[in-house]
Amino acid sequence: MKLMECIRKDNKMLVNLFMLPIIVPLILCYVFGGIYPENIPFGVADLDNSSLSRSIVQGLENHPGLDVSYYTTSQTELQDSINDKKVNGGIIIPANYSLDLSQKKAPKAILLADGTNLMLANNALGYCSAVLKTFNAQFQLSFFEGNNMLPQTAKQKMASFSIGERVLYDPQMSYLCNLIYIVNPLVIQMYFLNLFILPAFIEEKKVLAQDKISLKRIVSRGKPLLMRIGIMGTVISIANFIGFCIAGLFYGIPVKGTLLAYFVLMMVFLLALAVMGLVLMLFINERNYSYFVGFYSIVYVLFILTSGAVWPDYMMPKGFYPVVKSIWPYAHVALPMKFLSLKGIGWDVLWPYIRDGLCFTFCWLMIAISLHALKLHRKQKALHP
Amino acid sequence: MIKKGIIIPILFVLLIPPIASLILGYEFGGHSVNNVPTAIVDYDNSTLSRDLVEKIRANDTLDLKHYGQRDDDIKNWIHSGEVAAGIIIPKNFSTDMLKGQTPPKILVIYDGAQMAMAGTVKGKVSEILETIKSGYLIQVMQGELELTSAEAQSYIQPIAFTTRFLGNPTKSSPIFFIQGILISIAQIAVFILGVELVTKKDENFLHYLSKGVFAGLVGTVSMVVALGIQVWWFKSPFNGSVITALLLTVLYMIGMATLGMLLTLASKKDKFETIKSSTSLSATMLLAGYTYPLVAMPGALQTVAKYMPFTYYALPLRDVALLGTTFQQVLPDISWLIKFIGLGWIGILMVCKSSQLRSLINRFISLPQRKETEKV
Repeated sequence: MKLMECIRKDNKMLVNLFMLPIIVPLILCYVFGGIYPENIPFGVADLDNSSLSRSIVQGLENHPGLDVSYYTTSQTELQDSINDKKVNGGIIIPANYSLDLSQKKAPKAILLADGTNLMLANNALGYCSAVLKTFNAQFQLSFFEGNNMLPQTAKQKMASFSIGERVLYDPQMSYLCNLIYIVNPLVIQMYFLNLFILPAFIEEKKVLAQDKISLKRIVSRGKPLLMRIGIMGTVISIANFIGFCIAGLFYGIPVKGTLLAYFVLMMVFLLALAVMGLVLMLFINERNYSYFVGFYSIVYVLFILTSGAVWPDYMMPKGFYPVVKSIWPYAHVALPMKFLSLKGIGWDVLWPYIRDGLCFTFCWLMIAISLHALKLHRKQKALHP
Repeated sequence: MIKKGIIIPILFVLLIPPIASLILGYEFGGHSVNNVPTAIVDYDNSTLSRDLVEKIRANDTLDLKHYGQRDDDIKNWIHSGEVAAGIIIPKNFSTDMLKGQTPPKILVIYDGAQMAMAGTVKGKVSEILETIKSGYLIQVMQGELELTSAEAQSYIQPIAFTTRFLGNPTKSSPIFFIQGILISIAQIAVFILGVELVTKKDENFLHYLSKGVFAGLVGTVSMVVALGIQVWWFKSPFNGSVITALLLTVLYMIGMATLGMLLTLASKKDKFETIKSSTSLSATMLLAGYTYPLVAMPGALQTVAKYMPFTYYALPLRDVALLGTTFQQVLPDISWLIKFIGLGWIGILMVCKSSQLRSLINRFISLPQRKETEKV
């Protein structure tokens, strides 16, 4: 009966918070679903204009990743075209390149890229260097063969050893997989904290303030609130899993964890958020609530950047990450959520994250209870000196 | 006179972006990928393989954490997140290489779940391995083809090339995105200030115009301090003209404040609803192609990006800072931002006038009724 009452009370919010974790991954998949940027505008400054340089240019033109759309005979013009955003990269083949090569003067081509967008720049230069490496191999082979080395021996010498590369879990190292698993908890955090927890706590605070506060009263008021938080948490945790599964089904993103693992991780996070809501209630009331929402909207992008999921903790200054982890719970969920989805980590790897999340919740709960008790004590003392 | 309720949003605008700049500058202070935890399995254990391990150990980018005995050790360490990359040197690596019959293969394994480091580590590891490979090829050429060292060198990579990243020579990711994050933070703060500056009773267009300019200037001060912290304290590059950057900033900030005011005035809901919706502004950073290239997005979104003010501020500002883009080159963006502000002002004017017109009509309609009431 009480359960139905709770559901009825939060029905609109329940629907919103159920739909949100499902819709957000789908939107992200639609926007960032492309894996490799193709047809990157590319420029050529062929100052040599020999048969070799023309072959190189042709090799670049035939590469599907590049769209060779700008031709010039001046180095400065090519640089200007990059600055003007006409192209994202380019190659400068110096004058007498072919001649210098035959005279063993080791001439060098210059690959330029617009460093303001690293993603495009890396891809453009990657494609271009792949083309040049093919020419290199052909050259080396013909050189060895020209020096009376058998073709087979020449090939063996050149391939002295090869380098094999394997990227585990997300071979394409896509932007989408780097983002999707950490954005969902962030969006959930915003709605759960700002639009559910805080308004619910403000309401309770108002009710409690009307009468004399006793432990019995706090417990009797707290029970339905805990039930509401529990229902909301369950709905969100399930919706989060469903959202990833649907995105996995339609866009092929990995969802390797089990429902239970996702559920536990999300519930621990939501519990921690509820406790942080309790802490925030020390300062927030009906009048300044809108300021908090404004403040949160301004700073919320910082949660993602300091979570350790975008920029790993080992690259941060010493002591920075522990501080972040001890003041806000998002860092306890972002990285494990990503690892759970991409790697399918088991309980042995997941447990330390869950344990840290629970410790965080417990510590802040103690702080919140102590501070509220102190505040209450002062208030009572002021009323009855 | 500034009202009491406005002080907090003004403080948000003035304080949050500079503080965020300090936090981000401190966090990403190194500007480069380093200390990437790495593991190695050396099945060969020869002089050559030990030399290779030594070279990897000496590299700042990699932090050699573990030495494994089996392939699975590396997989397990990557799985648990203890290491982000692993290198496997096969058995008989040295002898196979010298015999030249079956070229051995060094396997490098990366944790695809850590995109920030994988690209850089890939580059560093292949750099080390290519150096070793080149050394070996020089030896072969000198020994078997009787070439001099210099001659052999020229044949190692006949079609040699150097790469240059214009505006970001160190290929630093933080340089590439921190500015955008700060803009994203400041724009929401200024937007909220714009919202808070609206008073429903005030229908004077000129009041709103001056309020928008005021909020924009507050935002500009904040943005200048935030970017200044990055440039002077954390040594982020700034190669362009300060005046161009300042002009872009002033226009954008006024535009965002105007947008906040317009949406509040046009909306029938209260200010809080507009403040709640301000979070969605941070999505403009992703949708404008600031980090993820527009060319890889669906066509419809590429069109949407053309109508987002962020596209005409953050992207040209990054170009000014990194590439030293000139005033002439950003003139189209400046023109777009001026039009954006102009449209915002026209919108506010229309809202103000329409409410004045509405009240005039209401007064006109209620006039005969009032006369009748007076008669009665």
